[in-house]
Amino acid sequence: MPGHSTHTVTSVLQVRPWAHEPPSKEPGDAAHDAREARLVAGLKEGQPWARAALVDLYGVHVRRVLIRVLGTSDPDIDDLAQETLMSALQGVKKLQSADALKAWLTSIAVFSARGTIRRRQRWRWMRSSSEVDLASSPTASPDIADAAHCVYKILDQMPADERIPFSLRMFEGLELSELVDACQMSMATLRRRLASAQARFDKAAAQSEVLAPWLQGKRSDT
Amino acid sequence: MSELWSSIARSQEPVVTDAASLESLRSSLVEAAPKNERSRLWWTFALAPVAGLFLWFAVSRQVVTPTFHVGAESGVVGNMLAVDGQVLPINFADGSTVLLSKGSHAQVAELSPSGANIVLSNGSLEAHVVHTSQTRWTFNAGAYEILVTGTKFRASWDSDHQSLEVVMHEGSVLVVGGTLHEALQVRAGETLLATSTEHTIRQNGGPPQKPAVPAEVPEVSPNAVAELPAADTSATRSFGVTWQLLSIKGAHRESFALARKLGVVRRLRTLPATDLLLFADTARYAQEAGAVEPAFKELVQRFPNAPESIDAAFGLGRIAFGQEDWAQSARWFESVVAKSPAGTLAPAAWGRLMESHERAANLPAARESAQRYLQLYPTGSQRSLAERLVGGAASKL
Repeated sequence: MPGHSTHTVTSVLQVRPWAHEPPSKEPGDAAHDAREARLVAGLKEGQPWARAALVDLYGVHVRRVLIRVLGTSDPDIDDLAQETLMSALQGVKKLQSADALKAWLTSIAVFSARGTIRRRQRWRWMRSSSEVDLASSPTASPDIADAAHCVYKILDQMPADERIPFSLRMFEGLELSELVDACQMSMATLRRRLASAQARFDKAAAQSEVLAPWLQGKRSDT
Repeated sequence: MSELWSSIARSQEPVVTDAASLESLRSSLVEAAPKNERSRLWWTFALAPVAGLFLWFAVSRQVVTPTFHVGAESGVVGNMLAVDGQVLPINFADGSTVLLSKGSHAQVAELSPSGANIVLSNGSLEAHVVHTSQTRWTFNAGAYEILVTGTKFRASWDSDHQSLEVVMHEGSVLVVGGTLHEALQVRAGETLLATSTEHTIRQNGGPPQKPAVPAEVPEVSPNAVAELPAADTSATRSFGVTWQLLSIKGAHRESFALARKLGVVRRLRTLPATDLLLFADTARYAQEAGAVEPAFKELVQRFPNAPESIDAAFGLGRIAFGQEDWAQSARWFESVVAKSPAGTLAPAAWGRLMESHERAANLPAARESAQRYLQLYPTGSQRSLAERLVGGAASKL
């Protein structure tokens, strides 16, 4: 259904579906800049307090990126968050601007998630479908939990390079320019992958009893 | 459709912000040295003998004897200097200078390789202290003390009116004592005026003001705020820099130095539970390992039922674990899970408990704690260790 695809591709490329929090920094936020600069300087000096501060300031962000991409019940979230921040510690000397810290951490988290997804996809043939660990939050209502289960089941079938930008775009409302940095791909490639992911998702969701009402906009009780 | 994504995302937030996971992440990151750091450490140890020889060679030829000159003459520690004529310069061997103004009385009370203590009895001085990693300079004026690492400032002391003025040109200083309830940080571009009744900070050239918030608002996490002592709403205290605030800002070394200066180490018995925990954490991050355990022990002994004692017990367990005192660490972690079975530290404590038992070769206890861990946290981060300990790892692979 080309018409349908065209419509939804436009939506994923032009609309920020949902941004759960305001931008963490306003232009010219001097206190934020100073804090970032101190933190990056401390990390480069190997200061223990800076490691703790890195988690205090960006631990939630890193976990959020990973959880949006992989789901809440992914057993590797804790390990991947640690791996992300350890990689950041090891590579922080290459970070040239403290302003880029958050985006840089996002890209490392994306890299970690991508590796995990690809590794699992390589071994997927060995697992039965019942073993696929799909995500639902323990705090979600049953209908949201069902929907999340179906969404991640669809995401799990996507190539990593489509799944990650699509997840971050839809869950986090990241701008295209932010996704380019986070996913380390060109704008043209990003647009192509988002379009492909959207088409895959819409097609699969339309066949899902749980997701179809959401797709048709008939859900209004939440 | 966007409602779907936002609903799922909202439902994920409790997991995103899960305190236990974040604490575990924090601990692992603080404790773990990055690979390149480990590599550096290896080289440090490997080259230590060579470096030691080199250092001995260098030091044996260049021992810096602290000296100073008053004008053109050699200075003598303890001599009172009275400036009747023009400005009197005091030049120190490290390049630091102090200019005493006309009519001032002062003395160099102490001199060491890392700095000096100047007592200003009356009048004013302009100080330019050269910063090094070891710099420790102090200036006394009446009941006030100015703590300096490297900076330029002017201090004036009116002994008749017991008033102190500190005008900062560069850097920052901490001022303690006198009518100040807490240590006060004065930064470049600011002037502190402390009298016998009040104190104000203003921007240089601007009108006096009592800011309701610190000159730079410390970035504090909600958890950290909860650990602060009850807020004092008086304007004079609200912008005081305490060792607690320095710690929360992440300046742990400075915080620990200030706490030590203020005698906190000797006053552990008087500290509330929140301060004891914060002090222990401060010492830990400042790499003052010797101060951590006493604070934790004081907390556990004096406040056994306080929530902070759980953190302290966990901390003591980790210390014992690090010292490879497995029996002791197991006892501390057992106390954590017993006191706070559903607390945020419980999963990590169970994990450490089974590790402690395993390392102590107490396999029945290790298996038992691993079984308990798997019952409580079937998807926990230490699941594989637990499965191995109960002998089920092979079936999962």
